[in-house]
Amino acid sequence: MPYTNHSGDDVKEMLSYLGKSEIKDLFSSIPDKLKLKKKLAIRGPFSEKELISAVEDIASGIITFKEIFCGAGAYNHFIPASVDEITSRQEYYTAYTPYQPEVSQGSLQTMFEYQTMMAELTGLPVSNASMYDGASAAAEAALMAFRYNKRNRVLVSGGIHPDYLITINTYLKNTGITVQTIPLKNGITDIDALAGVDVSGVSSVIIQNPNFSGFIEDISAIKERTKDAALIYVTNEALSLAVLKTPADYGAAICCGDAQAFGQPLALGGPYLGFITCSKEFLHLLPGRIIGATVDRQGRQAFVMTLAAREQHIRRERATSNICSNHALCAVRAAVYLSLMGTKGLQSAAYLSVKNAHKLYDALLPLKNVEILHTGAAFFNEFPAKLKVDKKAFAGSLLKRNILGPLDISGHYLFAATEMNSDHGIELLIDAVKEAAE
Amino acid sequence: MAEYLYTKDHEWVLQEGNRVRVGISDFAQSELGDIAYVELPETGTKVKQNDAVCSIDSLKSSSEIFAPVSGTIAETNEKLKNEENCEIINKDPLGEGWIFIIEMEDPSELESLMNEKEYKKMTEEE
Repeated sequence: MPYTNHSGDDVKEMLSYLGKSEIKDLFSSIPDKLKLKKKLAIRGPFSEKELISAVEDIASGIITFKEIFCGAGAYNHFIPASVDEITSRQEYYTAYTPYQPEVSQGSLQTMFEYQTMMAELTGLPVSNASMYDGASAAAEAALMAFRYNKRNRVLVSGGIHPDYLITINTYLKNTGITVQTIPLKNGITDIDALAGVDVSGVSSVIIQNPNFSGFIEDISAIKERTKDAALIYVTNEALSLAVLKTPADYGAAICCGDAQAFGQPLALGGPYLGFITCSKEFLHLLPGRIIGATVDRQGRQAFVMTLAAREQHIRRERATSNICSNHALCAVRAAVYLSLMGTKGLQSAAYLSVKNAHKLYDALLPLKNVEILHTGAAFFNEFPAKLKVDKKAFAGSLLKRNILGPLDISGHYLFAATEMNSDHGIELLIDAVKEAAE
Repeated sequence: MAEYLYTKDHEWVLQEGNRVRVGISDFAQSELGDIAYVELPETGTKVKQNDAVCSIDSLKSSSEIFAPVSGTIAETNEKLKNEENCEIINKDPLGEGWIFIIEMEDPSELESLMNEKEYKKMTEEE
């Protein structure tokens, strides 16, 4: 799309039409104390040649790690080269959902396939065409349940990703919905603590599985104790859906989270891929775009955005959500990734991730300066451990071996592994842990 | 036999004793197009005349349905809970396609509504 700048005359003409003398007059409604008074610290202006050189300088300082043992919602999974090749086609390369079915059948069909595959993976029949990220998807899910049963209490497991909890609290802050956190015991949601909670009037129960520490939750027990509250199954490691019992098997009303694992590269924090799937009763409460299959006048299969009357551009202030855009390109990447991997490929990647994480666990367990937390609890591809290491020395030992180490969470470290890790990589990490022993 | 009364918001009203049956007019259904979903109100809900009671979605629009009179929602058309049945509003808006029934608080409010002739005149002017 060409970008045409306004000429000085254009700006003058528009300002005179508005009866303003300067551009800054357009911002007069913003309180003065909130305005930035100094210039932004941006270097330049540069010539093209200077700019390339400046960017190359920045790029030369970026480290690409050979082995990554850090997860916490961002996982280093294999991405077939063909994902980039296919999704960089011009027809796909947009962040937006195409409104014009007559010129967008390919993109629309791809998004329809994405929805179908997400529905199959979660066992729930309805999927939208993506959300921004797992955290906002979880908050939207809580709002869906509220619209469905009009109850204003939400229970959230303490095992949820801390960023998700912050986002849920932010979304619900001014809605009159209260959020209560259920504590953890031995790494997973404490069923006994839940037994002490009055569950009548609870709108939804939000459980992350595997939870933030990587442990597998006892969701059946949670469902049993929370009766008719809507069960919201959250995952930030979507690859687990390929091998664990489906959210639908547990009686989940809504499944949501982050599908970064499906073909989204780890790139400075994003963009990631939020998703929501739900049971049929929640269809009209679902935020965001939905692509539907239909037939055209000649009876040929065709794809269109459907049930748009839920959305902001039609329903205005009564819309199911103010989400009015999504991560269409990321959803296309996920659809391409999933179709290339297939059921077997996806399951292999998941099993290898689990296997490598357990290999790492077994290798860390005998070390004198390692205390693995909640030993015996079942985990997917992530687990927490306390390390007796000199932090600075540990960072140096990791860097020297070209390893991105476990995430440092106050008091302990969160170790993750995927199919991308090698036995040699695990050995190197073990060496680094030993070397940095206090 | 009671006659159909109309609101300026295109609802029709049919008095049945102290209750009124409510739906949308033939004009409204033809303007909206294929009805895809009706968000039915909860029975027992108290409504004031002209309050938004529920919404009705066609494929490309969403409209609110307003209470023609004050009272309590006594019944809703259960058939409309199944989306596949929503087309009865297009096929038979004044009969099978009724939406809810209100137990009236003040039957004199009916006097503020239009008769069929007045309503027809209004839609022709629109």
